[in-house]
Amino acid sequence: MGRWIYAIPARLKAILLRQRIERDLDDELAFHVAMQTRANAREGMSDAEAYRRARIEIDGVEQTKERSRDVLPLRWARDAMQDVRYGLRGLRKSPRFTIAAVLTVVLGVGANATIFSVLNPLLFKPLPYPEPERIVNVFRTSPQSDRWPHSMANYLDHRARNTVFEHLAAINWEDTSLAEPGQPAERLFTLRTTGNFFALFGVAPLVGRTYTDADDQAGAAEVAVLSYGFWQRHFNGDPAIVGRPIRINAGYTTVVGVMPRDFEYPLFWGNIDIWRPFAASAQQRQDRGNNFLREFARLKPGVTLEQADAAMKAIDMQILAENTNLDRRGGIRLAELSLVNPVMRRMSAFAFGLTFLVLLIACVNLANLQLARTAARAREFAIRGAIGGGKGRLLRQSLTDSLVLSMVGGAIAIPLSFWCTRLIATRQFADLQGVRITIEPATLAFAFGCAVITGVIFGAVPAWLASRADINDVLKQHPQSMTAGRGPQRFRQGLIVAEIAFALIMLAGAVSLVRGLQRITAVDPGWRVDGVLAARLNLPPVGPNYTTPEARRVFFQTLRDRAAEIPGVTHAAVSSSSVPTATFGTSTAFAVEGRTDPVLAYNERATPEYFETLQVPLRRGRLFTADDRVGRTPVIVINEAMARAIWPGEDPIGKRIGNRGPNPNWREVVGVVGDITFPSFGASSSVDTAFQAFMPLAQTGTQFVNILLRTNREPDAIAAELRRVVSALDPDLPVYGLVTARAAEERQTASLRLLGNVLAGFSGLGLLLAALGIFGVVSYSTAQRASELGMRMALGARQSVVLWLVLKQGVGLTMVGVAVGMAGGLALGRVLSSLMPNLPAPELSVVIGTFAFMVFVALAAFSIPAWRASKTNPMLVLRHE
Amino acid sequence: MSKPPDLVQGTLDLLLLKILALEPLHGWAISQRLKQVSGDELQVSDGSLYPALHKLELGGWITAEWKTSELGRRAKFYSLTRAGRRYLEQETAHWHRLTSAISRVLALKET
Repeated sequence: MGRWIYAIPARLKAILLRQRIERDLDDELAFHVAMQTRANAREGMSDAEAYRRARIEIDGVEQTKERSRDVLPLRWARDAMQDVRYGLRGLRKSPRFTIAAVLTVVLGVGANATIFSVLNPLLFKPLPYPEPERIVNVFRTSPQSDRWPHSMANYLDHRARNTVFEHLAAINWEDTSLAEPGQPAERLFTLRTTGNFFALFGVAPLVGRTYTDADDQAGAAEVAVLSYGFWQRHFNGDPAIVGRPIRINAGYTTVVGVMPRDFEYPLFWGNIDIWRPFAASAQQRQDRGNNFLREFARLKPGVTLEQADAAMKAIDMQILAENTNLDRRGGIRLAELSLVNPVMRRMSAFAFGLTFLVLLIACVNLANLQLARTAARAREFAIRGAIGGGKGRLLRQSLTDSLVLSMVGGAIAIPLSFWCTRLIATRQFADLQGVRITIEPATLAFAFGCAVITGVIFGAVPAWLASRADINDVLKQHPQSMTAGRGPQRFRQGLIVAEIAFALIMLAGAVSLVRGLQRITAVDPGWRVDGVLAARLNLPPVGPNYTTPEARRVFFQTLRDRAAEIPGVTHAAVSSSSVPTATFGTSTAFAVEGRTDPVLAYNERATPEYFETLQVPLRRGRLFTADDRVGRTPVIVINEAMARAIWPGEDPIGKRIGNRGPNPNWREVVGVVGDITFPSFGASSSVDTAFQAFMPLAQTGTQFVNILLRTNREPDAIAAELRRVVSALDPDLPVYGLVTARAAEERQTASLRLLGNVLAGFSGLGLLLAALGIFGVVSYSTAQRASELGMRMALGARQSVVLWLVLKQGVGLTMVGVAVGMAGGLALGRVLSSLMPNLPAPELSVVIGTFAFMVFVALAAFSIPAWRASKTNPMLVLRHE
Repeated sequence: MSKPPDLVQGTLDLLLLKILALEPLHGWAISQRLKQVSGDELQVSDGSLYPALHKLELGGWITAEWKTSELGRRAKFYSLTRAGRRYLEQETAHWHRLTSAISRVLALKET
């Protein structure tokens, strides 16, 4: 296509050197006319006639120029540029309007862009795996929860029998200690997985290899894959790490590979330092009692979630039929994999929808401003119309004006929203593992889209209204005495109603959500959260103090006693789980004497002071004592929910609970304690009160050791002393996860609180925008009625009468707006309760308060301009006339 | 007298290219040459001439250069580019094929 090369200079010139092109055109045609004039003159015409004829023959110089211009590229772009220039000139001429409008766009677009970039990773970003839609969760269900873990034996059956999955993998979180010679011991977040784990997710390692089923065999050489973060932090990204042995849990494990950075990202397994295969022993592989595995599966191509769900339910039935001692009230449930739980996801989507209302309010405000401005420019438009400016052209000019405004606003809003996003990301998400908020092209595109939509909406409607105005009417009117026509006035009233309604809907949505969340998190947890400090220890299997079960018990007791001696500590306990803010660490299916079906319950092992430390109330019987040791009657304490469910109407004290299988090792129920509850946002109930069973640590032992302290001092001071106590006992033992129970609880609800804060902030913003909008419109319309009001006052109307005159309209509009908003709010409440069925509705007093607040804000926005209007000096107004 | 038929679409381009193939000319000279060669049979208004030239220029078929004309005034001279020459050859051949086909059809005798 050689010709394009020749075409480039002419085209570039046409686009870039507009003036040059115009001049060339002038010169060329002038030359033609001159030559033709000469030729005509030679034929005997007079000079004037010759010139006239030459111009006729060329069909008119200007017309020909115009036809030549049509040939030039980017005609529309040149017109648009002209419109933009004209628009900018207009905006410079009315700075107050410009500032108000740009500010509104900045707030509206900025708010939406910010919430978009905060929620983008949670809502819209695909998981960083190939074909993520084929990856699913496989949960076990029970009457208490719909996301229980699985046992190893069940997992192996699921894996062997299913025909619907390409891979079915299981994982479990674990803490391991890295103790390289000569270095302080370090705790590692470890994910134990089956050998097919990496194959399932389909992500290649950055360095080395991942492990496979061949490595996941009892007796196989121990291998580990490192996370990018751990590799960088601990080995400075040394690629020679592959093949090197590292000392984990007092044994040596070979590093085979490093995963890329993105692989750590997903929220559902948190920050991971290393991955290790289970390498389960033959005995572990037959264990159906210990449910600790989370299953992930990759569907075979073409298999739907429903088909796989049905297939897995069938397999579950088979397993239940073959193993009569399993809990029969449970089931299997498949769920799509998402970064956050579905409820959080739906709530985020809801919040996201609400912030669109802010944008909508901003649009209404802008439409109002633009309407006022168009009215002020009505004469200009009418004159342009009168001298032949087409309606389409005028409409386009108006649209261009608003687009220019919204682009300017958008250009300011985007960096602003980046800044806000960074603030939210560092302040609010700092603790939230795995979430990485970044600013992405998608955000830019979104903000840009918002700005364009805003511009079009607020530009088109007033322009259309203005274009309908009768030119003659407008021109006949005196510029100052002009009142808006009936159409625009109605429209403006409609805008006020819309503004009140939108603001109320937004407010109602935010209040329902925030109040609902507050009510969920305010549920009595069943223990006293304040004043509790928790820390964790990880006892390696070998070590001077921990070789025998007896030595471990002695160690626990010494640890507890020393911790209790710290000044300011009123109670100290050692337990297998940390503070119960989310769940307990382990659950077990217990056998109940006299019953065939097992009972699934959380299984917590603790020293006797546990209940006092957390202040869990005793309901019946007794708590553990120091006498509940090995060799004495094994005892167990259960919670009320469990007692009620297993022995309804009976005294549970003296009943026995044990292990399933031939050797139950019956434990006698000696006490019943109050329920510990966890806030739950799942579908089944708003409160998760599972069955809870507690056993004396002295009779069971545990690998996971948590120290719980109740203190009346500053927890930070206690933390330092706790470290000193532990390091005096064993300098190699790392103390980690030091956290107050309050902080642990807050971390659980961090993302929900963030959502609440963001929503509250945005509904405040929406309200402010709406109030400003009403204020602006009313100010404008009272200013327009200034002469009428002045006249009334001159004729003797009192100030209060004038005030009421203006306010009357406001009250009416507010009532209509509140009514519409109430209807919208009810519909929104319906939507919210379908998204989150167990979200408690806000109290009636809160609902009424919300409405009252809205009415108050709206009326305040009406009264200020009304009051100002009533204060005007009638003489001034009349003289002005 | 009936109005001479409008030029067949695209034929003006062909004529302009052909004229410029002989020698570079400015607009007015092209217009004179057109009238001279085709007589009154083809009426090309000067008004359609310039947009057509500019279109060819933007298309890369011809290129323009400001030079001093025979009367000492600066004028815009158009000349054929290589692409334009190739295009002219193609289009000429195409024209011949088309017209001979039409002639053959029109030469059919009624029986």
